[in-house]
Amino acid sequence: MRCNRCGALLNASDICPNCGADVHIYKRIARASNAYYNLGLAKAQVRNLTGAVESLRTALTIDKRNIQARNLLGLVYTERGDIVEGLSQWVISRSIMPTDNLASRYIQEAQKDKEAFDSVTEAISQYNLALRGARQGNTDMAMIQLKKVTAAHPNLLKAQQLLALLYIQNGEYNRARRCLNTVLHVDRSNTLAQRYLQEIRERLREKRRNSPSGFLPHTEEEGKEPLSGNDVIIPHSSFRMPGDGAATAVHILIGAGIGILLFFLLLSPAIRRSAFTDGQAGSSQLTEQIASQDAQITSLQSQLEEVQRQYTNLQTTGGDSQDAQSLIASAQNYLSGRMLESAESLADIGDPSALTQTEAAALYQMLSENMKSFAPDIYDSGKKAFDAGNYQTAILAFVRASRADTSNAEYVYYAARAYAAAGDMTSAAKYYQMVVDRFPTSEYATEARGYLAGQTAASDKSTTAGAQSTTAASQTEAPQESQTVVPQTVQAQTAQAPETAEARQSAAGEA
Amino acid sequence: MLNFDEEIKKFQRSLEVEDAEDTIYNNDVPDISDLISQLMQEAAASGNRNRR
Repeated sequence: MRCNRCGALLNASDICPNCGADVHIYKRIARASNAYYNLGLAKAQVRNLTGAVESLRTALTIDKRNIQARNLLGLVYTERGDIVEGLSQWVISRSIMPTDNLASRYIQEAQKDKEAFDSVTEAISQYNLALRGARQGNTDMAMIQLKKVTAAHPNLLKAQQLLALLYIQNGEYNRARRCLNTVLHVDRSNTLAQRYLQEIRERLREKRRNSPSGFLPHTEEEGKEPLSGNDVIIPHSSFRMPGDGAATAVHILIGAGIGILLFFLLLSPAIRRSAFTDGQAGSSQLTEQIASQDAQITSLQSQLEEVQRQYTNLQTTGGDSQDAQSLIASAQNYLSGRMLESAESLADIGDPSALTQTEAAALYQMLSENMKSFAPDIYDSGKKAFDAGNYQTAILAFVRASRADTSNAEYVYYAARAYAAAGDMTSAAKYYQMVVDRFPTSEYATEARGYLAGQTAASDKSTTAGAQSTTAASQTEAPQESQTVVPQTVQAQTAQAPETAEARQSAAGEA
Repeated sequence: MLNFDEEIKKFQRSLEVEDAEDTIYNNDVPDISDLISQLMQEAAASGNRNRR
């Protein structure tokens, strides 16, 4: 703060250090001026230029030496388009404080671009002309001039406001609104612009109320002004943005079609080629499989032929013995494809070593390889018969199974059980003994020992009676089987079971 | 309702360059501090006169 008399810099004391004047009242006045300056600054910062001008003018009325307020006022005037007012304030500010003053810089900036400065001053002159013309009633001429001015200098708010007023007078509310919005963009709280906008709203409302077709929707057409000399007509171009629905859909379809065509032309041959290659690999694999199966068939055919030859030989050279007949029956079944029956017939051969003829022994050997695989099937049929209480059928099946597969203790065990169930205790005891002898560590050996121990306490008479009843039952039951050889074979086996067990074991071992 | 004539009268002409000189020279109007100083001087002078 400087002394209002001598301009010297003041300190905290209320006496000027230079001239000795009492400055305490001046200091209070200066503080009040600064307060209005701060208010003006705050308004200018939010673009309330009208309010800022009022506050800054008040600040200067209180203290005309408030340099900051004056500089800011000049800035606000310039922003509103009043360049000359702005410059005046800066010149005054510089005259009050010539050194260390922002106003000097502002003046230099404003005068730097001579052309722009001249253009602005010319616009101001035209505005003044237009104002005079409007006052005199030459509104058309005024409007033309003002349009040029506002087009070149949209910041000249007075020109915008005057033009808006003329538009409102002519009923061109949309154009007036545009001018006023420009003003409000620069000066947010411009009272005049807001008042004119309010006026436009009221006039439009009035128009709507008085309109005869009030229920129809009002469009912007009512604000549409007739064409004037300054309007530029832009013809509608035939070019259409590719946003129309039908055209877009057509284009998409065409593109998809081209894509599908390219796919078939470029990609599908490669796909077919790879499929062909895969097919070739698969077919070569199948060819190999066919070749191996052909070899297998050839080997089976040669086996079959051998069997056929043996069978024919056997038939011609003789074979009246039961074993020979069983062998022949087994060969017959084998040739007919009845593998199970073939195994059963073969199992009826009590003593394979009794087949002295070389061909018969060879045939037996060949057929016995087939016999073992059917042992479970024979056993299953025996089990079913046993469960159904048909013990004779069960005995037959279990005995055959035990002959077909001499390594299975279960078959022998169940043969013994079937005999015991049928009442043939002697045969049952023999088969239990077979279990103990041939499979001493098996789970069935314990029960077999238990049975045998129980049987030793009983008399031989009951065992013999059981054996006789078993024999009679087997003689009556056996003929029901398809093999006529079976009853005699079973009877023979019942008597010879312990001896033939070792023979079969040795035969199976040799095989 | 807007009165065009009344409104048009409210519009002030904008300062042109030729008017700047006069504006600057005529700006030296007394502000409140000048007025108060003047009042104080007058009060002091009248006080002296009364004392005599």
